[in-house]
Amino acid sequence: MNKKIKKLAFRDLKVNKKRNRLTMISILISVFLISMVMNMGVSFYGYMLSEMKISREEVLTIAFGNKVNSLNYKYLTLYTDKDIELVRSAEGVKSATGVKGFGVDSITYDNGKQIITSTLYGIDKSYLDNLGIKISEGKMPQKDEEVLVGNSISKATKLGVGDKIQVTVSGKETDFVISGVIDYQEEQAFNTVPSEINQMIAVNVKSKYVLDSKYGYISAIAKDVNKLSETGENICKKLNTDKDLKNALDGTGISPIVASRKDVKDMLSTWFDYIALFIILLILLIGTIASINIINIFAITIQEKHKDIAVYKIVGASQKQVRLIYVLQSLLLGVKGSVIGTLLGIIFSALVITILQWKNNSNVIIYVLPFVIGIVTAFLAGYLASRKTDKVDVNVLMNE
Amino acid sequence: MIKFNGVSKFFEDGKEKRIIIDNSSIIIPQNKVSGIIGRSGLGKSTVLKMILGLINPDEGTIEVDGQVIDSENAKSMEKLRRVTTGSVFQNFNLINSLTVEENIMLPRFFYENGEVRIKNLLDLLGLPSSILGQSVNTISGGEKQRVAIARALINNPKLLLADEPTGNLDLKNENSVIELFKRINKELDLTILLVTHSKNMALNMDKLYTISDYKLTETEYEADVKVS
Repeated sequence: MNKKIKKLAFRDLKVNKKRNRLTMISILISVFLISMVMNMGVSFYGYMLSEMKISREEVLTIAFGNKVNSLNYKYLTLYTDKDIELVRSAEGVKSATGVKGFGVDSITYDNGKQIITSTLYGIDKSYLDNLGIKISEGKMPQKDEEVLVGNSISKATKLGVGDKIQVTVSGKETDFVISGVIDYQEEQAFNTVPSEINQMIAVNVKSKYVLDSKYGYISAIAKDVNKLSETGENICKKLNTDKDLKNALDGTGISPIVASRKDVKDMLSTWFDYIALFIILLILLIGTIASINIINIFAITIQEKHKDIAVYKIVGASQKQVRLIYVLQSLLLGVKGSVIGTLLGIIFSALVITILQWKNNSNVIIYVLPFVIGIVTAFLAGYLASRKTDKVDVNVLMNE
Repeated sequence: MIKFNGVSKFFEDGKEKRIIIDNSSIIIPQNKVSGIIGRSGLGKSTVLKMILGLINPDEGTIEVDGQVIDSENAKSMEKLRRVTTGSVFQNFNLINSLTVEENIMLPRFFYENGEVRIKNLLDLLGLPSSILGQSVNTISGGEKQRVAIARALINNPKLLLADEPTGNLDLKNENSVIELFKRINKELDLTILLVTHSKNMALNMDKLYTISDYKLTETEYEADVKVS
């Protein structure tokens, strides 16, 4: 590139310092906004994905709900052993186990101190194994009056293996001994693992106390994580053959539904597609506004400089060379604005991400892309504005 | 050097047609200082604009150093302005953001034709070398015109065109510019064509032309030639 034309371009920039500074600031702000939006968007996505890490992909939760939103499910004590067998027989299911539960009057310890939960669950070991949950102390209840307690209950009450709790049902109080404590499960925004696991108090599913209860939901393991939807459909088809279940649900608008981590991922994916689309539109909008701003400012500058431009032409400058002067000016302002805007965007988004405890973005492209967008926008805007120089009439140099 | 072949030019003002020149054929010779003289509004500047390639004649052609002038052919006009012609204007038209040296060298920012001989030019034009680093806003009108002339000559053109070059100068500076043109013509073997309504300039031309009865014709300076 001609050094002299560069010199001419940058010397000319010094004449309108205030206006050029404003142009640079507008690029800076645009790039800053784009950098913030991209960094925070990617960080938020990473944070959401990390929230799903505990739940295993192959786990299916079979509960009840409407088919519109499979993640908005509820537990209804309607499933029986027969339904568990139907689920086990569905194509694609590796194993299945049920979770029982019924409401009690109260659960207390240490002479009347209240424990917050009012549901007594009935589970078996395979349920914990399916979810990858360990027993941190003690063991699975073997006897009717033995219970497993969730980690939060144990910490709050300082109860451990061997300690007693009292469960009151229909006015009758019964002592239960803690046989084990369930490992703490991290609270997550989206989880097919029941959120009540940390506050769970559960007897063995074969305990007499839950023998007559039905299952609130069924937990199953799929054979193939790539066929979760098909397996879910197979399970629902099998459950629909249970006439008693069907009759119980008739007219309620509710049916058996299968929720999986894939559903969560698909839902998140759909949300993020919309968010990504919104971010792209926002970036386009910011870029367009910045471009229009730069084009207008350069159009004014070219209008003011029409005599200088006429001089360039009369001394032999080509159209391309004259345009180059203004493209170089817009590029220089673009580089300055983009560098500062990108740095500020990275710093501020890192600050916000740290405060919100989201995942830090490690993708270099996300850091570099706003800078590139800034440069390209400035270049295109400068190029479009520079075409106005073609119309400058050299006749202005001559007196009539 | 400059050949007019049946050139006509008119302007349309609503329904009226204003003729500037009509079917003029003339040759302006090489290596002379020539002037187009006449009162204001005669069309002298229009003739110069056609030679500069700013506008096209409505009929006929104009050739400069064998090249046919076509104002709509941007490439050929670029070539003309880079290699063949240098231009000087009444208002100097210097670039305020550049120094004197940068203004002189401006044509060479875009195209370099032949060797640079800035020192020779400064000597020829009577400009001190200390002026080179100054801003054009700090020099006098006479110096500005010399700088403009230096700019027009820096790329070694064959033809120097000047539009009322002394229009903004006092008599003393006008006389020194006249001497300058003569010196340039002699030392650089340069063809000079200028447009003027100054009697003083007209008296010092090798050749004089005017527009009479819409014809561009050679003339002799006479005391009663209306130049203003």
